[in-house]
Amino acid sequence: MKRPLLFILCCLTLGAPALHATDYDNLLFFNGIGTAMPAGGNSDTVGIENQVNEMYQRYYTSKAASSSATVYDQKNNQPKVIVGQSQGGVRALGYASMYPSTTAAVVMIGAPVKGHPMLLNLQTTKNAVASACQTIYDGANATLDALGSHILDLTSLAASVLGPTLVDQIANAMLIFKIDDDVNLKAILTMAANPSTTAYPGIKDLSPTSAFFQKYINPSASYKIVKVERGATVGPRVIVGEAIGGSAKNALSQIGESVETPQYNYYVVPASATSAKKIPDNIYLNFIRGIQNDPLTLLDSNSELAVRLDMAIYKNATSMAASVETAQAHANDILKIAAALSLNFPLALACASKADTCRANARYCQNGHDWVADYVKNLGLILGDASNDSFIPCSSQSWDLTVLGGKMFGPALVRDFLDNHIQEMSDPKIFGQNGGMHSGAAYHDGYLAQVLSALPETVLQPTGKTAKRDTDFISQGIDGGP
Amino acid sequence: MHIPIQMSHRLALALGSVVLAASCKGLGLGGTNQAQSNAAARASPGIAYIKNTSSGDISSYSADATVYRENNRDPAGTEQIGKYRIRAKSIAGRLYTRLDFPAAADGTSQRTVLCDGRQTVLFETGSGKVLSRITASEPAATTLPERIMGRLDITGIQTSLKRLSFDIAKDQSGRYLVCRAPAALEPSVPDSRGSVSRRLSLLFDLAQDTLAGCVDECSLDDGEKVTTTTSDLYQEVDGQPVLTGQVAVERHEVPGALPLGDDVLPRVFDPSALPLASSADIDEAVNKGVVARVAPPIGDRTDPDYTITTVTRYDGISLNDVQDCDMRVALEGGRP
Repeated sequence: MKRPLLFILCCLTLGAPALHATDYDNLLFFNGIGTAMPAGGNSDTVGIENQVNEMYQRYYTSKAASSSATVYDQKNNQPKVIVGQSQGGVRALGYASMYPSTTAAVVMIGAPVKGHPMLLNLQTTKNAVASACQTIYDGANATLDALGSHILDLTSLAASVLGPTLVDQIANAMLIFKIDDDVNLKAILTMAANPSTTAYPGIKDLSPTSAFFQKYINPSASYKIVKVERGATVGPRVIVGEAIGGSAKNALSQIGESVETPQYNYYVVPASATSAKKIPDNIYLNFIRGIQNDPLTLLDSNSELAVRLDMAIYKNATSMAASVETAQAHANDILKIAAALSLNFPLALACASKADTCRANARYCQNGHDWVADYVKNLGLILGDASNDSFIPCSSQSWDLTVLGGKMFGPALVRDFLDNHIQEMSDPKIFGQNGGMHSGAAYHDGYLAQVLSALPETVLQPTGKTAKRDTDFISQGIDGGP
Repeated sequence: MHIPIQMSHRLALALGSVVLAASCKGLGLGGTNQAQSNAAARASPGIAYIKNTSSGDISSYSADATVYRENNRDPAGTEQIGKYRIRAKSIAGRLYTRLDFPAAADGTSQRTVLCDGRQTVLFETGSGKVLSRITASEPAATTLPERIMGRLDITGIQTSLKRLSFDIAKDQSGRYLVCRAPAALEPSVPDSRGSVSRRLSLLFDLAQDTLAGCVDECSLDDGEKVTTTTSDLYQEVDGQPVLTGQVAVERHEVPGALPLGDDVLPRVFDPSALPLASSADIDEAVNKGVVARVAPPIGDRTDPDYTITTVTRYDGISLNDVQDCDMRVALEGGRP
């Protein structure tokens, strides 16, 4: 927070006049794609290349078709600074690659600029989501079984989170948690369920292996898997026995000596370390990263608050239920032995059965609890995590966009002022007071202005009053909107 | 279940406890000098505090339980998932069980669960605040004898089981008596897991005279088959088998196959065959392109079957040292 605060404080004390609203009429704003990010009215009905072409047509060749043409015709033929957020950032890079003569610079905000890793393994993503849903559902169900429905209101979750299909599951979960699908998870799951689908081309093109990425942004076409050691665990070696009818020596299991086992993290990485640059070197690049190391910050503030509350309730309930079921399992295990001692075999059987059920329930509760408690890691494995530049960017500050081409400009990125992915579109600390993607304005008291001020004058000096924004076309109904 | 005597030293090391090894050398039940036992216990942390009873029977049991779990398809491997103190005691024909959980790293305070077959109470250990009180819908009506552990009368067991129409056979080694329950004694279904049928077998160790394990074969309503084999591990202390651990192996056979689509990940995911990279390598890769962290299931990724192994290890075992007041607190409406 120090840098933007310092910047604002400096403006207040030294540069009060700079607080006057000054817009930039040579900026183009490219929204992201999602419920609240309609990608210039294209939504996800066409691929990114087509979206870029349409933007070019709007701003450079077919101004007469737009009733807002008079707003921007004076600067029409000058190169623009493209400000793209989320998927709009990828569109902006594509724009720079496809129409370099009309692009002075690209500023990306929270964009998966090297492709979304989640799309590299669609089926794995889908299976991981299914597994996560099942884990949460089982935890809720076992908790209700252990504590009774009076202890917490998980009934609706247990009953609704699992629908007839995975897409339904997600839809239901989002409905329950009041989540807007701005990470397009539903689209991704639909694609995973039917890889040949032609739906959601604007999302599909975000894959690092998509034709769009190969052609215009990042040519890494092949990937490999590597492992990185992350320590070791110590636990008992188990000599697993075979069930009834198994070998004579190991009818049941035994505990062996403790052993140390190395642990690894696994990564998919480009097979080749070098790649051809696709963005021309004379185009300036800057990137304002989101703070989505915590995936819940992808949500808007109200949804985030609601989800955090639900998660707190869930964690507490599953933790209590796991303790109760563990105790019940032990009680029944010992009761089983005591019953056998007194030759009460119906009781011994009932206790053995109950102990197994309680053990399974305790595990379901514990797994559900652990999944939610460690949601940053678990969601990170699905949505992308600290190791990649997806919607949940890495925590380091070491991105090297020059592997894409172009050249960096402006101050080093500062990203700890962002609240969440949606707020990136209107954060006053980025755009200045009253600025934002939707309002099509950036003001001098915002971080974006600070970035833009670093552009060489010979390249571009933002002047004028009104910026272009793809939302112009939505509000005017030209594209019909999403 | 058999723990060979020659394994006792290794086992004692494995269990991180010298409780039983020491016990076998002279500390024991009935007839042992209690003062000597207690002195030995004080001198060597981990040695069981064994309190005599006139009969020498084990009527109460306490131990530090450490629980490990492994999923054979999960790259995470074996992980410690729990650690707590367990106490069990037969009081007036009823089994009382108490688990004390330590405070958790997430801020959860110390908690205690107490159950007596009729009620289960969860409360904060320090403040005594009751978090949940559950009354069993079908309380256990059976009166238990004082003994909760000990050597079984195998001859009497066989007679009893035959009368109940158990299907009795010895395993190939001749050591274990495998007793399959008749349909009339099958657990009721469906249960909370969605079971549509369950068959249980009890396994008795003829060498140790113990109830050595249980096999629970369960079919679920979605076609999944779950076979849980529970092995109870004992070590003899002055001729009495004492519970030292448990291994529960839960094998899930899931119908169907998982689709893989066009994923970059290979069909067979074999972590041992992957090249090892350094953290610096990954950092460099992050700078140069897409890096995605993954955790796919080990083995053939189209195969949905998996096996979960849960190991419970008991250390610091004490026999006949549980106080009634510790077990009755908070039950029957009382405050902790």
